[in-house]
Parts: sequence; structure tokens; C-alpha cells
Amino acid sequence: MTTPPPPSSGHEPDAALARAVAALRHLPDVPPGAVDRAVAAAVARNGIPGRRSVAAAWLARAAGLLLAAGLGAAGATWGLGRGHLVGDVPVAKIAQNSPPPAAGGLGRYVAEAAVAAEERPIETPFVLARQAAKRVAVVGDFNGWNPNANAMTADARGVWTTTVPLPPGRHAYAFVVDGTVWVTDPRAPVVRDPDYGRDQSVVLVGHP
Amino acid sequence: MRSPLRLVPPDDDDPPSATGSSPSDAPPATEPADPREWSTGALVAAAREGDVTAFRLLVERYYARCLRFARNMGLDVEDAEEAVQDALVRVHGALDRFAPGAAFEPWLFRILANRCRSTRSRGRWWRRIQVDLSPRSAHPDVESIPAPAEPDADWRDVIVRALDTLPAEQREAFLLRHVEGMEYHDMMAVTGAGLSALKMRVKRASDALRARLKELV
Repeated sequence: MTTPPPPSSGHEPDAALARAVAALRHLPDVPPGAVDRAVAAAVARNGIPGRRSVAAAWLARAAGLLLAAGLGAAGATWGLGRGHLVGDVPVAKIAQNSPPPAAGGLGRYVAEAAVAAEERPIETPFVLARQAAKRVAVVGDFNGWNPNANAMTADARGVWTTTVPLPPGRHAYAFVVDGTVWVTDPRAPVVRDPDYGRDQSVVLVGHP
Repeated sequence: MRSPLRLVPPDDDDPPSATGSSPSDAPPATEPADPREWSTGALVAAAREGDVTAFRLLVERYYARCLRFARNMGLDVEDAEEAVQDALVRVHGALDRFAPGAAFEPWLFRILANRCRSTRSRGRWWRRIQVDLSPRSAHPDVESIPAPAEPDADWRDVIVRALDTLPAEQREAFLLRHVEGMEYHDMMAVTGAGLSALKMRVKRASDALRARLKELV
């Protein structure tokens, strides 16, 4: 794409400024794979718009069935107790977090239900082989880097595993072995937190 | 977790209904057969319908300009790429809330500018470490582009140092106007600032840069 010519203004820059603008307009080369990475990250994070529409339609039908079953006229939706599910989306959460459906339609309600479906946590497995360890925990941005939050269990071969429900998106994490040793996941990309100067692993969680 | 997106005007919170799309938002019958030659509006309309190829073509079309803007806003290569990718992900996530018939480019740059501001104010919270530590030449990036790719590295360094002396809002306004070639009404959509404020920022930035360049050259 070509950059449009400079807009004229009442303050035409002098030669040095014009030269500076020309240099600033130089388009950098796109790093190899950057476009693909951006598209993949977008689809992993957001899904595909058409599929969101299908989810919304499905949820609309499910919501309609619930309403028809006596759970409500629109106002009664607010009275739903905890534990009711639409698929595996907690209706109570949707009802508590959403305004009442607008008169004459479920549009906003359904749209927010679809968003809730996209954001529902995904059981994410974590694995670390560490035979000599006495205890291992996974810590990350999802549990406040708390080594007591998600302890892992070992099998006879010393392979430590656990699963953590994570919302879709990118999460940084690491393992803490025996309460003192910080270990990154050898199977995952590693990033460095410059604030603390230590490495972290990264997992990208998304609905298929 | 999806963060609240302050990427669209407040009155665009509700996703537009299917019938809300203006006819101009759909690929007109006159669009070329090759999607690469479609107008931006046609690509946006197709991407909204779930066409990943159309979204990819949008990314291809705008990536270099986005990267240029992020770099000119003072982000280093790594942060700039991160901000651009983050902005594009957010664009994709908000496509179905994109006001039909609205101009795409100011919307994109509004999101990108937000990401650049956030990155600059927050500081980098993580830095990508190459897992594969093979020689740098095996992983070309912007920094490894040979010198001819930059018109004049020393001169650019002078310009960047001059830009660094500007307040962020003046820098942003100057870049949008004189580098990205944006009209003021589009800049208002990008920055949220009023017309007179933007004109003043551009003027002050130009004056300051002119003076600073004289000192530095």
C-alpha cells in the first residue's frame, strides 16, 4: 500500500523537516511469518466470526427453550439460581452479568451469552518430568504465581501432571519444584519477564 | 479473558444486526475476482462474515504501515511487533461490532495507537526469548534487515532522537498527519481529540522538530 502524499498545511515544513518526514515514511519490511502469526493469534483468540454467529443462534434456541419451559418470561431470567446450565455455560453467570433482555428481543442477552461461551475456561494440562522432586506446582498469571494454588501429582515414573481451567488467551507460567526451584516447561516457548529477570513459559489457550 | 474493548465508539457497544449493514459494506459486484484486489471495505465485510482469507489480506495490506507507526511512536522492534499483533487481534475480535460503513483505517489506527500508548506507559512486561538460539541470520527480523533497507540509518537516528523530545500526543498527531497522511477528521477518530487541539499539536510538533533537527544536524 502506498502512503498518501502529505496533506498540505499552512505550515510547510522546511527542508530538514521534509527530509525527516520522508525518512519516517519508509515502510519497514514485514518480518517473515508475522502476518501468519497475527492471523493465527486472532483466530485462536477470537474464533471465526461466522462460528460466533452459529454459537449465538444455538444459544438463542437454548435460551428460548428455557424460557418456554417456564423458567421465564424475560424478567424471570433474573431469578435463575446457580447451577443451571445452557450447554456448559452457567446461566446464572450470564443472568447476573447481563442486563435484562430488551423488550422485543434477546439480542443483547444472546450476544453476551455467546461471548461467555467463547470465554469459558478450557481444561489445560501441564506436565513436567522430574523424578527426584518431592513436590511440584504450576504457577502462572492465572493463579497469581501462587505455588500453593495448583499442586501437581506424580505417577510412578516421576511425571508430574495437573490440569487447570484457563480462559482462552495467552498465559505465562512456570513450575516450582520443591518450593524453591523455578523451572520452565521444556515443551513450550520461553519468555523473559524483565521486571523480575526470570524466564516463563507461555501457553496459548483457545477453543478449537 | 477478553478485556473490555475501548476500541469502538461507546454507542457501538451493541453488535450491529445483520440487517444493519449498509449496502456499501458488502463486496460490490464490481469488485475484481481476485480478493487481493478488493477494496478495504469489501475485505472488512468478508472478514466480518468469517472469511479468514479476507482478514489475512487485510493484515497483509496494513501490517507494514502499522509496524511503521508503532516504530515511529518509539517502540523497539519487539514491542512494535507485539503492539501490532495485539491490535490486529483486537480488530479481528471486534469486527462484528465495527460500525457498518465506517472508515476502517482510522478505526485500525485508533486501536493501534491505544496499544502503543499502553505499551509505552506499561513498559514491556515480557520479552520474547528465542528458544532456538541458532545464528541470528537464521531468524531475520527488522533489526537484521541490511542497511540499504533503511534510507539513512544515521539520519533516522537523528530523527528518532528529535521525536523522542516531543510529548506523546504531539508525536502521535504529527505522525498521523504527516507520515500516515491522515485527514484531521480521521485523526479525531483515532485520538479522540478535537480539531483545534490536533492542529495545535501538529503545529507545535512541527515547530519543535524543526528546531530540534537544526540542533542535531
